[in-house]
Amino acid sequence: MNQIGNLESIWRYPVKSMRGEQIDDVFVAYTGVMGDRVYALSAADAPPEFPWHTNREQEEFVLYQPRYRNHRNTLKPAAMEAAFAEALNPPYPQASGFCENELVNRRLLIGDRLEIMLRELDPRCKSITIDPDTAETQPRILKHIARKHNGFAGVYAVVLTEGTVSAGDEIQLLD
Amino acid sequence: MNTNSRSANDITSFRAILDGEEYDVPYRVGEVMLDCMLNEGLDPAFQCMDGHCGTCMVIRLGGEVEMRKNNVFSQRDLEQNYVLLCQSIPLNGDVLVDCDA
Repeated sequence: MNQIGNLESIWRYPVKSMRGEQIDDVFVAYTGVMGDRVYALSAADAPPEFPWHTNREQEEFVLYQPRYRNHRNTLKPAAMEAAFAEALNPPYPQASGFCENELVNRRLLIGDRLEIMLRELDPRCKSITIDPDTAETQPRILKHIARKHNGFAGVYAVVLTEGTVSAGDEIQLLD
Repeated sequence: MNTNSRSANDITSFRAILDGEEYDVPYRVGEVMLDCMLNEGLDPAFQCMDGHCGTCMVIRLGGEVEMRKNNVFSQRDLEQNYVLLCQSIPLNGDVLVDCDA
């Protein structure tokens, strides 16, 4: 294995398009980061292929800070330790800005258990131009991404082995 | 919609500011402004070409345009005179857009 970095911080977005929350550690399941994008608002006048009301139509959405009533219970599933003790998942093999683009189709180990495979680059939209502190937009951000990075910033990954990650965890390149 | 606008057939060009330079861009009837700029060899930022992503949002500094559709702008964007190059058609000959905004 080849360490390529550390997990600098962990963010999740309980309500699509609203402000995210920084968390110290979280369980990552096959369906993604626990508690992330659990809720969204739908708009009656939105096109059926994208029915959500987002911060693109109402920038002030990013000024709302959703919070779970029982924050602790949304970070890790109940009885997780017991479940892992009996897990059938096989153990993982012993085996620059935008540098993640080079890692598509490769596997990463984050912390001591979570294994993900980066699958595709993330095409961005107006949402990344909205300042989460002020709701002001800076279209130049998206234009720079379009002209210098073909419109992509960040990567999508699939979870191969579920696990808990914490800020500061080592990131290992598996293959 | 500017009811005093000339017919689209009378419009031969629009102006666009891009990377600090102002260009006179030939307009061909039926084409959106993004296509006109690309046909001129200009390099405005764009992605989806379908009114969804917002990459080609520019500020209209003059003239009137009509957007075929808009699935990305807020009311605030519209009040600030943002238009999407990929959906906009000039309605008169005085259109000036700032692509550097």
